This record gives sequence, C-alpha cells and structure tokens, in this order.
Amino acid sequence: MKKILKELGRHIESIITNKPLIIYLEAGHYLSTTGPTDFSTESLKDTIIFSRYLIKKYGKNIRVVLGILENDLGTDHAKNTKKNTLNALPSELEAIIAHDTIIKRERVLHFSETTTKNRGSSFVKKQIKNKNKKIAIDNTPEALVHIHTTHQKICIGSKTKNNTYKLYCAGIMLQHYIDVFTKVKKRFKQADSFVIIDWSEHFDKTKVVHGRQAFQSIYSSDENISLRIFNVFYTDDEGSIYSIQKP
Amino acid sequence: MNLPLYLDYNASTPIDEHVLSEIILYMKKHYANPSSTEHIPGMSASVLLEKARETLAKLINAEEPDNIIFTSGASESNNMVIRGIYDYFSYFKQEKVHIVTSTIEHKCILNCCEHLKKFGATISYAPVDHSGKVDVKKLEELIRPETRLITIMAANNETGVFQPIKEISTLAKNHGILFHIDAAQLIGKYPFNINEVSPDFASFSSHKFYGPKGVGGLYISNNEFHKKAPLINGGDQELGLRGGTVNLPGIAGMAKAAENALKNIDQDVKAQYKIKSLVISKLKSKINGFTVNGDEKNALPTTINFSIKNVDAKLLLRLLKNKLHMSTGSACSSNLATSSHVLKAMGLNSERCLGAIRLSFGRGVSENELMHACDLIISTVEKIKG
Repeated sequence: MKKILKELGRHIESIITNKPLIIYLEAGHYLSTTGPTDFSTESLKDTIIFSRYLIKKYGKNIRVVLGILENDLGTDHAKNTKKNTLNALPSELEAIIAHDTIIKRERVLHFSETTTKNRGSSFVKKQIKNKNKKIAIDNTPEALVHIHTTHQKICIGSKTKNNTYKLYCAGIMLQHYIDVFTKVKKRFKQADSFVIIDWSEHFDKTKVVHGRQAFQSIYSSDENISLRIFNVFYTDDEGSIYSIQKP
Repeated sequence: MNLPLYLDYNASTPIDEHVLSEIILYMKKHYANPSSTEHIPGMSASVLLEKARETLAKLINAEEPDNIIFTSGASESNNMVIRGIYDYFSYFKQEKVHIVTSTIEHKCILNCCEHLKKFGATISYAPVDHSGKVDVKKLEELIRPETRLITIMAANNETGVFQPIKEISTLAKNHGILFHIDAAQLIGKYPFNINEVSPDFASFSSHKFYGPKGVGGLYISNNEFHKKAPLINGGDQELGLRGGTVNLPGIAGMAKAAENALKNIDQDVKAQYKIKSLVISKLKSKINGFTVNGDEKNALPTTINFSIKNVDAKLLLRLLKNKLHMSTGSACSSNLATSSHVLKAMGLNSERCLGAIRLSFGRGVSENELMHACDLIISTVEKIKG
C-alpha cells in the first residue's frame, strides 16, 4: 500500500472506537471538457484500495462511501450556468470502479460543481437574510462576501447588482462539503461519527482548505455528531509527493 | 527535449553548477566568521568577503566596493532602504515623511509602505500606462515638499517591462529627493551600469541570476542615512549598516554567479531577444486570441506575460503540469480580487487579468526547447477550446 494510504490508515486507527464510523472518500476529480487526468484515475484507484483495506480491517465497524466531484463549469466558472443534469462518469473512471467489487457503482455519489455553485448561491443568500454573524459583505464596489473564521476572513463570492450571489472557488467548496455531509448523514441516519477524506491536486489546495475552513466555521450541525475532514493533496499524479491537512 | 521544462525564471533561477561548487567549497573550507579577524581563518574569510564585494561592484560598475552591502535578498534590501529613510527623517530630523512609489511594485515594497502609514508616513502611488510603464509626468505631480524617497522597480517581475528609471532619477535629483531602484529582475540578467542611472540605492537578489537563495545586496551611494538607522542592529558587519554574521558561502556563490553574468550577459541577452520574438510570433500565429500583456519590446528579453481569450490560465497550467512549469498572477481564476495587482493597474479587463500566464526563461533554455514549449501550449489550448 502506498505511503499516503498507510498514513491515512494510522489516522483512522487513532479515531476508530467501537461505534460505527462512516468514512466518505472523495477522489477522481475531473473536468467535463477535458476528461479525467492521471490524477483523477490514480486518486480514484487509491480510494478503492483504501476502501478495501478499511473494510477488511474494521468489518462492520466501518461504512465506506465513495464520491466523485465533476467540474462541469467549463473554462470559466465565473459565469452563472443553469445546467442541472449530471454527465455520466467518464469510461476511465467507470472502469476503475467496475474493476473492484468492493464498491457498488450505484452507491457512488457523483457531484456537479455547476449544481453545487447554484445551491451555494441560494445558501449564501439565505444566510445573509438570516443575519448569520459569520458572513459579511464588504462595503466596496466589488461587494465581496466573506466568512469570518477564528483566524481569518475567507472570500467565498460576491454580491451582484441583481442581488444574487456569485460563488468563487472557496464558496463552491463550502457548499460541496455541506452537500456531501448532508447526503452521507441521510444515508446513515443512526450514525454519529463521520470522516471525510477528500483527495485534491496541490493546485487546488488554497480553495479546498478555505472551503473546508468556511464550512467548519459556518455550518452548524448536531452537537452530538462528530465530523472530521482530512484533505489530501497530491503534488504529482501518483501521490508519492503529498500533504495531508488534518482536522 | 527533457520534460518537464521549467519556465518560471522570474520567480527563481536554477543554480549554476559552478556556483554550487563554490558554495560547497566555502562551506567546507572557509567556515570561519569574517568578523573574527584575530586568526588566520577569520582574516582569510574577511579577505574573501571583500573579493566578493569587488565582484558585485564590478557587475554594476559601482565606483567603490564599499558601495555594496550584503543582505539576505532584495526584500530585506528594499525594507532596509524604505524603513531606514523613514526612521532617519522622522526620528532624527523630526520631519514629515512622504514616499512616492508606483502601483506595480513588488509586494515587499507595497507592504512596507503600507506598514509605515501606521506610523505617520504618507505614501503616493504613481500610475502606469496600458503598456505597464510608470507615468513619469503623473509621478512628478505627486511630489511634495516632504517627499523624501522615490522607490521604483527597474523591470517589472510580472511583465518584464522596463521602467523609466533614468528619467525618474533625474527628476529625483532635480527635486533633491533620494531615489531607490528595486533592480531584482535586472541586475545579473541584463547589462546595467549604475552610473547611467545614478540612483542613491539599488536592491538585487542572487537567486534571480543563478545564485543561491537567501542572499542579495544593496548598492548604497551614501550611507549616512542608514548608519543612523540600520534595519538590523548587531555587530559592525557591513560597515555597521547591517548587523549579523554574513553568509559567506552564499555571498561567494552570488559572486560566482556575478562573474558568470559578466562573461555571458551580452550574448545571453542577444539570443534571448531572438527567442522571445520567435515565441511570441509562433503563439500569435497559432492561437486565436493570444495577447501579450505589457510592452513587448521595451521589456526583459526573458519574460512573456500573455493571456488567451476564453482559456482559463489555471486550467492550462494544470493540463501542462507534467510538461511545462509557468505561473499565473492570480490565486483564484474566478476572483478578480486575487488577480495580479500589476495587470489591474495596467487597466487590463478582468478576462485578461484572470487569464494571464507568465512564461519566463533564462540561460540554459534553448530555442528548440521553447519552440517545443510553444507546441505544447498550442495543442493544449486546442484541447481546452474543444
């Protein structure tokens, strides 16, 4: 098993108790326009290997969910697109999932950045309407929207002249984590312990980390539920050079 | 061709083999402190330090080696100038301090100036024109009786555009104002004679011209200001202007890099202008919507900042990540607020700002390699456009 997976394995070992743990693994991020890259396929293979390892080691004490986020925003994700139908997964990624029976294809979650962005705009509008103190709009011509965390202000988007909200990179990730957690919680209603392990390319580190920090700052969930998010960043496609941001 | 090809020389250059050997030699053999002049190793180290100083002085044609002070790099040198001048005039002379700079300076200059505002300094920012050049007339209009310093870069790190430093130097002298040039992108890469510009201060950085990181220097024509207000107080190193044990191996490495520059700079620049012209020509002819940001001709021969209509810069770099290493000016390709302050100052539209890529090369990158790089860029753009 790769070094990164062994390290993740040690982190899971330090968390696991005798209560069921739900682990969501997300990898295989790809662009609709150009298709999966080596990172997409390698990271997806890694999650399947890791899933097999976890299930073999922890049996019924663990439930693994696999997910893939598709960037179907095109080359400019500043435009507001209204597409709501999801593309089928590219054949390369389908083949990887089909190759190993550990994960049932119909249980794989498939997210769209376009849908996420649209949902995020509505979410931000609602938060501002409800006067959530952690979210603020700059009093500048750009009208940037910030989330206040303990240590910083994270820019998640801007308010347009039509009174809608245009989400930027970190804002899309914020909504994505909300969507992931909502779906996984719905699937495992009785569970109270969750882990998200999200694979990204190093290129996306800033927006992913900011998105996660914004999510952790603004999203309130049941106090009795534990959620830990690990972000894995591959510098090369195979993950031999990597970093992990731990919760 | 060996891939990947590194094309981010403006951020940092690969270290020259001879420079590396020199550093290792100094680390092994000349480890004594050059300030410890009571024994032979220390005395030898101090002699070698002065030899390095002579070489750097020669690189820029400075009259006296003592005009060169060694620092940890251009950021420190820039801070040393600005903060030293502020301290001198505000504290020792009890005078108001106004500084004039430009909207396209390096972040270390801009942030240093912003920092001094908290202590009562006033700062004015001269605008640039669409080609990325400081508007000298508008800069002159910003001058006030309490203007103590004008600080302008010699060549912009993002666009490569040369700034009118000779004109500004004359202007500064006519008004009795001190003039600093941030020459980090110029010295060691492009022929430069300090006497033709005659600034009071000029910063430079070793890792921009094939030397090691963590070392650079400052040309100072008159050290009266900084003798009273050094940035780093310590021993009497660097004529009392910059405390702290000098990084002799790093300085020796920088001096070796300077020697190489003196030998190669003229033919390098000639070849690089030719290559730059070929690259721009090829990309313009093969890519619809390709534009160069900034003045193409009055700029460093090794820098091309470009945008391609309807092509996301971050996406292009991502798809080329295992083949070409370039950089963009923005942290997020949808947030104009994070895009390059330089391109915004030039008045470029949001699409060009967000889509900008900087390709910068140097000695050791051949014409063939760059032509191949062009092919890779062209084919990847075609893939993106679909």
